[in-house]
Amino acid sequence: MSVNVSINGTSHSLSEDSTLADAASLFGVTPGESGIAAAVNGRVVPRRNWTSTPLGNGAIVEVVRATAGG
Amino acid sequence: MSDEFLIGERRLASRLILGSGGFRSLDRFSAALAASGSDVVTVALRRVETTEGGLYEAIGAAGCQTLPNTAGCYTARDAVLTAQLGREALETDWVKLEVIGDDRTLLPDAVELLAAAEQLVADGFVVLPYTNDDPILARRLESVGCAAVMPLGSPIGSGLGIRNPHAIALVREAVSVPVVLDAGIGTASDAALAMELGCDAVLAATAIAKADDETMMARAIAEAVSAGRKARLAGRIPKRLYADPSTTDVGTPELSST
Repeated sequence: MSVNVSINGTSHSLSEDSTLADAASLFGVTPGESGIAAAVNGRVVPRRNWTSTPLGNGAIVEVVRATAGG
Repeated sequence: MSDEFLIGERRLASRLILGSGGFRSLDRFSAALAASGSDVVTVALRRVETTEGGLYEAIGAAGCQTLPNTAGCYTARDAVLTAQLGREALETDWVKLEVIGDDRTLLPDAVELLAAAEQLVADGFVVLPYTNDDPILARRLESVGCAAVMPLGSPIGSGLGIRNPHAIALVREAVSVPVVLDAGIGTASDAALAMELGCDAVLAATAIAKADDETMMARAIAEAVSAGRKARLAGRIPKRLYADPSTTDVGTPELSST
């Protein structure tokens, strides 16, 4: 079984036991990295909880990084 | 002479806040940051695949505090979530709150801004809102608990300076929290004027990042901020319509023979 999730605006099919950490790893990002954050369905998930946060079917994931800006 | 500058409970050594956007390279940003003497630097949050790492580390290596912004948000809801992402990413409860109304002017949407400010204060944030040069709105932002107000001098990135100095002076009178002139700085004299009008600090981004020599402009604006602050504290003379001789008439010799 798999779930369809949106990760940073792109649709992905992942195995149903996938977590937020798996989604972030698509970009080479790990929870230990500084300057990054993620939200699932409009709620911020602390980095320490990424590996224990499942992604249900239809989940909308955003993974962001601090970057240059005024 | 002690001239402390506090935002929230944090004492800041510099009255110039640097925006990190628009620099040609990370190295040139770091050089300008060192020249600016700033101890607070704004950053944005964007999807990881569109960004490169290193900025957060460079700001930390310089011993500076990051001030995450909510640039690009049009609604209070988006701004609140972006602020929460910034808190998680940068481990700070400070936020430069931006809620804009359209992408042509980038002017603040006052209604959404005030709603977002109220929610973020309730959520424990130290909120520094980018706002219009409107003393009434500034007072409303202070009343919901913002730690400072950041009125615009002119639109973001325009370099038009302070289009309405009178309004900035009124904002200064309207609130007791720090006033940080944000947006519109084009060159050093704009920063000096902001400080002479009573602003507590200046935020400069494009004026430095896009200058031919970013490092020299960073130094120039930092010196202008310092000079403007001193002029404000010193108390300028009133403006007069007619001349007022600086040399006395008393004892002027009678030299005409007729």
